Amino acid sequence: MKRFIFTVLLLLSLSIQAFAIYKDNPNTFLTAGFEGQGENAKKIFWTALNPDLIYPEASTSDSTDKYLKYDPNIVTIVPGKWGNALDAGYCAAANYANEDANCFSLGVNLNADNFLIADSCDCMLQFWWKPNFPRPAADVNTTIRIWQWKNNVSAATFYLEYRYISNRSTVANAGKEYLNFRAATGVSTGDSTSCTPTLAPSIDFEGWNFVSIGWENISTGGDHTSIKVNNDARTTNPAAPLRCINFTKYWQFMNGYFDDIRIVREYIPHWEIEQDRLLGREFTPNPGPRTCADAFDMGFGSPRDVNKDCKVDFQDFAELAIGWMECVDPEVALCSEPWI
Amino acid sequence: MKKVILRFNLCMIILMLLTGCLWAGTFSYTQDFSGSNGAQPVNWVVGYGSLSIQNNTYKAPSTDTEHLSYYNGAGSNLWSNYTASLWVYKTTSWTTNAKIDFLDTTGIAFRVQNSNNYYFAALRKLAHMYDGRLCIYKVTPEGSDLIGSVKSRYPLNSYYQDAWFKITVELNGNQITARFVEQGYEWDIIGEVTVTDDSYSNGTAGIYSISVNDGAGGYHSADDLTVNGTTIENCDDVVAQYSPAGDFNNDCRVDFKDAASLANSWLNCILPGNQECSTPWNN
Repeated sequence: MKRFIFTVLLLLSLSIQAFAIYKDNPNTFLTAGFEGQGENAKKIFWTALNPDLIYPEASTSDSTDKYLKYDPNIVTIVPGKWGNALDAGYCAAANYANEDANCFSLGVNLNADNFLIADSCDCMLQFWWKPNFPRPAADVNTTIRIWQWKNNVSAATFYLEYRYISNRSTVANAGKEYLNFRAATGVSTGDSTSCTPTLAPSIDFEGWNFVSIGWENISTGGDHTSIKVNNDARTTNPAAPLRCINFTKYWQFMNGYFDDIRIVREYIPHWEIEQDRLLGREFTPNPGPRTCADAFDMGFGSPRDVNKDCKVDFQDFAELAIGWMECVDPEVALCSEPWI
Repeated sequence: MKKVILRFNLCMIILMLLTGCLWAGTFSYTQDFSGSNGAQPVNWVVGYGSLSIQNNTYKAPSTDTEHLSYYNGAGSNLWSNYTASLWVYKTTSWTTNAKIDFLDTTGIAFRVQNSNNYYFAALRKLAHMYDGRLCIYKVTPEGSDLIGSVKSRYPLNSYYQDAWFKITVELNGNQITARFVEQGYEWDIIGEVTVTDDSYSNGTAGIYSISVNDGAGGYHSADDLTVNGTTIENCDDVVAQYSPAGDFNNDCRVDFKDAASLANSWLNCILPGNQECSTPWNN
């Protein structure tokens, strides 16, 4: 009888279509930058949608020793999946993958002490980036570090750098922009100091840019680090590779807005990649999930979707029916007590 | 008059039986680890490792060993929301010991359900950090996950050697707060962290430790465990861990309210790539 009543009620309710309330999908999580520019920067400023994320300790010197607090609300993602949804609404983050045997030591860790390491893996780090500095004047040499990691042990820095060479310069490539990888002094592993692009990337200073950085596993014959911006697939220089660097420490700063960081557990030689295949959709700052599992990982799943197949249907109804009238209320003597 | 009182009492007893209130309530437990060297405290279980009473403290030997011991007295598995504190001490050095990165810690285990399911809070120095941290871990059969940590305000490694620290955890539903102070400076909270986790809603308290053989006889000790709180009382205490899959409104039962909730979402879909489904991530 109970099930009959329930079924009738359910059928009567089928016409009721209510929108589930999903959490917001915040995007920008952190910005930081210079008061000056490039190597001459005197101070960095930090903002986050939740300023509590920044450690309050005073910097011992300019541009150093600032990093994010651990925050359990920061979404933990798995390699290859986007991490852009949060209850608290202030931070998208990627998590490190260094415990994953398939990508042993590539990591972007924004929830403990922030580090990036790339070693012995075919991996790609991808994220969306919106500059917080203007396009430089045509006749001004400009160098700005976009995202910098620091190795306390070797006192080295490893960074993604924007560079523009004045159109009045007499050196080669005048009037061109670059994104470079550079490793400053002190790096004990990895030989190269830069990954010089052969063509200028197509950076959008007003909007979001999709940055894709790849490491090729040197242990399997690869020796490349490459950078791709938007659909410019030629910002790589195999002749001057930056090896996978065992760079185990935290990032120092970011210069711009970052979102949807992810790690892809594969390196794609020569950038034979299709944007759509990687993103699941056309160029957009917020690509969203690609699979149902992604949707749940990002917090969009409905609790009514018991079997987590992204549809609320008879399979979920069956799950409910299995537990029909089951109770675990401690205040009701007749209920079961699984904790005992 | 006596009959009236008797009937009233009978009614109250029946009412309490019906509502299950007889076994709910507060509890208090203390353990000072006094006793014979090598013994175990009364009603304590050694999950693994070899913690034992030594000189009226609970001590880990100078070996590379992971330890878990916990109180297993009657009803302790029903402890749900409580405050527990433990004093910890170590003579090993985080500065000189090469094994410190993932070892060398002692802390308080809480909501211990068995040897494979519990939380613990401990002072640790992590491999990729350069300072002491108060860390909260969740242990499952698959391993332990760091679910929260706070940097100490006194980051020097030597600060944690040869000194007693009290670690306190406060458990309220899925909110877990841990803090620690140094003996003699209890007013000065050195680090405090709060995390949200609903994996375990009840369980006893104990001691977790990873001791190391530092070659110099270094050891860990713990002392004076105190626990005060409430046992499982109502649905809020158990819903996160024990509620059936169809309990959409989290009232600890699967009934018509849940059926109505399911009906309200009937045929909703968010399958990525399916054009007929909604895409809340674009909102």
